[in-house]
Amino acid sequence: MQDILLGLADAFTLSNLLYIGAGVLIGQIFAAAPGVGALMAITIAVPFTFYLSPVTAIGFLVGINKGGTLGGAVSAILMNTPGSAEATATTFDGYPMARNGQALKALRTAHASSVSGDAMSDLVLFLVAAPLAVLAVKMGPLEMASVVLVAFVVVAGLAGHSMIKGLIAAALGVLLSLVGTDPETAGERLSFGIPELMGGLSISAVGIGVLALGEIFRQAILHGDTGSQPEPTELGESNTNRFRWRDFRHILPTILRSTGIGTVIGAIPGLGSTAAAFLGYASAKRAAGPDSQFGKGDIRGVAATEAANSAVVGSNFIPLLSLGIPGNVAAALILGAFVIHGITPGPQLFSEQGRLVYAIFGAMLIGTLCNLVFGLFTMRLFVKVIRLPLPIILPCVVLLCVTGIIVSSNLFSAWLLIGFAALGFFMRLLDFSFVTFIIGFVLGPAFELNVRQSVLLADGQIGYLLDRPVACGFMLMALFLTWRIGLRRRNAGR
Amino acid sequence: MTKLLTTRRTLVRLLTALTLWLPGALAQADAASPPLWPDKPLDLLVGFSPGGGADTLARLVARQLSVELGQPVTVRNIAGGGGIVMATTLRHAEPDGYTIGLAANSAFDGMPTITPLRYQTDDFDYLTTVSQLQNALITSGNAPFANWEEMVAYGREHGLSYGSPSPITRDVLNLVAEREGIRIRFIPMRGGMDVINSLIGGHIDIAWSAGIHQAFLRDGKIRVLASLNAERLRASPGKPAIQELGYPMGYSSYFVLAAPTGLPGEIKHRLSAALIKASQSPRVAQLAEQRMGFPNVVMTPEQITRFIHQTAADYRRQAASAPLN
Repeated sequence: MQDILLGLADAFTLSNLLYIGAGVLIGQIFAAAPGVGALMAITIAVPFTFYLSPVTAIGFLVGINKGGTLGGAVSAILMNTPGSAEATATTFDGYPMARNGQALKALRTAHASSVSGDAMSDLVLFLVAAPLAVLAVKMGPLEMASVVLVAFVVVAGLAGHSMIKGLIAAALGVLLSLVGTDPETAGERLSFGIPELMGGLSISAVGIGVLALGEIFRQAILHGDTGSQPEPTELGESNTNRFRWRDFRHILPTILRSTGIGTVIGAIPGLGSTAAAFLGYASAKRAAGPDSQFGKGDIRGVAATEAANSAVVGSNFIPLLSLGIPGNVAAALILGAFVIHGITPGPQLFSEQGRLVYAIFGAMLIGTLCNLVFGLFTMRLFVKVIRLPLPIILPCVVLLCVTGIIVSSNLFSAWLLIGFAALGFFMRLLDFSFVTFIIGFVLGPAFELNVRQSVLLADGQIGYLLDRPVACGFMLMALFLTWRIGLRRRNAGR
Repeated sequence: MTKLLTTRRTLVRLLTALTLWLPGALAQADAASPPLWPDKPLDLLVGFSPGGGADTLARLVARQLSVELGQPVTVRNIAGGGGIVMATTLRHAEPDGYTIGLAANSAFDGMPTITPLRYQTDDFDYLTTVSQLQNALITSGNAPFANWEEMVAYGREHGLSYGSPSPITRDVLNLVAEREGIRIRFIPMRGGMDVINSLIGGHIDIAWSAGIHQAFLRDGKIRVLASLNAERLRASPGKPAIQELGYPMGYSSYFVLAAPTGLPGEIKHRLSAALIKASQSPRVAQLAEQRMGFPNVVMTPEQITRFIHQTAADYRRQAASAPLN
């Protein structure tokens, strides 16, 4: 108890407040710019934290991460361009809402859901960090592989119009994730003698290409219906463009469900916020039933995605603090900051550095509060962007995407970006779900490695599988979901 | 009067000589130093993912290096294949002193001999080392064996699953399997933390660690079975080195800083001097020694170059005598 009070006292200082606030702002701005992302901001910021005290440093980085989950939604809603992969599903309903003249409402929804999901996930972290870590470490290769399998089935079944096309898209994503080096032999795979491909295809090139530029190409080439420009009058607070208390009550069940999904996925190392966002969206869509407005501008679609991907930020710290295992790249960078400041995350951290752990928890709370307060102002600010006509916005988006890619990797990635934009264009043309494709691409490496590890460990003995009830449960769940979703699809087709 | 004149003349002459000589001297000074290097930011490529030991060290070295050279140094992570993806990228970089790379030496000396790669050991200039790795064969604190002999006995009965973060870490276990008659399954791992996680979770029996295990020794979550360095490890002096167990091998390895070969001599000299200074700086040394448990061994370019070529020759000899199965 004394540790908790001392820790919180360490957290609530003026300099912490300033740094964490700055972090949240930086995260929001970077994530709102498509193609850059909060991750880049974290990478750039890590060296600057050497001079800060551990709590300030980690608070600052977590602030960027928190601001980033919200900022990504801004460009997703206003420009149909996810600022980061985790905000991809935000575009499905956020962008239609903006096109219906409800941009502000969509942004406020994202803000409310993001902050709620984040805050609740933080609370879960504070309460169950130690016990859940024991569970996370029990997830072996076979359990991980079967969880990924469930994720594939769910996304393939719910993202597109046809299950078989969804599975094809997911398989294509997994195939492209194999480009690079083999995890076992370090041999080159599918790199066609191009050195830049040895490290694999960069997620930013694939994601931004397929999701953002592909859509812009479609609009430019097919003159697709991008919706008419909203009237400036609709940008103010109007009856349809206001986020009311009643709206919050309406989306609260969705937020709670997505927070649960995001928290669980964040606590499992390796899955990350993108998977959580899609699963959150998919389950909300399922709960809403087949005759809902999902995909056409349902407020719950935005809430489901944003609550889920923000809930990962808090629970990502469960494996990070208790095992030192980062849940995703952002957590990995923050782990580096821990090491620099002489903190070795691990089970002994809670017992030996209790005061520090609670100070970090306090810093996370400050980050959430900053996100809540700043969001009230920045969301209004970002809405101004939509007043610009599309012929001005779209080239700016393309420019941001391409420069972001070149800055964060290299010129070669910019060419990849163009290639994937073409792929995204044709996928839209032929009605293949580009979302399942991206999920396949993101989860592909983890799926491959875990399946290979399982096969090697099982050594041809079926007993290895039967001895693992958790994995068996997940696999049965995957089968059951395939059957259920397939059945519902068939009935819907009649 | 004449005296004054002569004095004046001498003075004029002196001044003239000076004015004639000065620009020449300055020009000579210019010629002695190459065109101003560095006049733009440098790139430091790291062969591992962000957040690990190598990455953390690299970021600190980069900071100190930018102080030494007065130019920013950006760190870029190019993970994969135990450093070979980074080395391939580095091999294709301009040898102008603006791109350097950090990986364990096995990426430069061992890997080219065991798998076909697009670079050879000679393709790089080796500049210095940051620290020595602490290679160990480790197991979980809950494992049914606590030392080498018990492990062998257990392995003969049940077989062993071995987590290997890089193909280079297989040959010693291949030999163990052959000599002791143990069936060993090689399980590929993504990196050090993956290894620790799998051990603590009880998913694999034993694994290779380059030093990350040291943080987990104190609370007994991880145990060291044997040192895989040439000698016993500092943190586990009670555990035998692999040579003492009758295996003629030892993997003394270092985090090496390298550049694509063909650096202009003067630039190479200044770059390695700056890197050595950065690697020896109190901040880097303290982080490596006290927080990560890696001895801060900093070699001269000549020493590390000799070491790497020697190791590569050993690997080639081994590969020739015993083809990998």
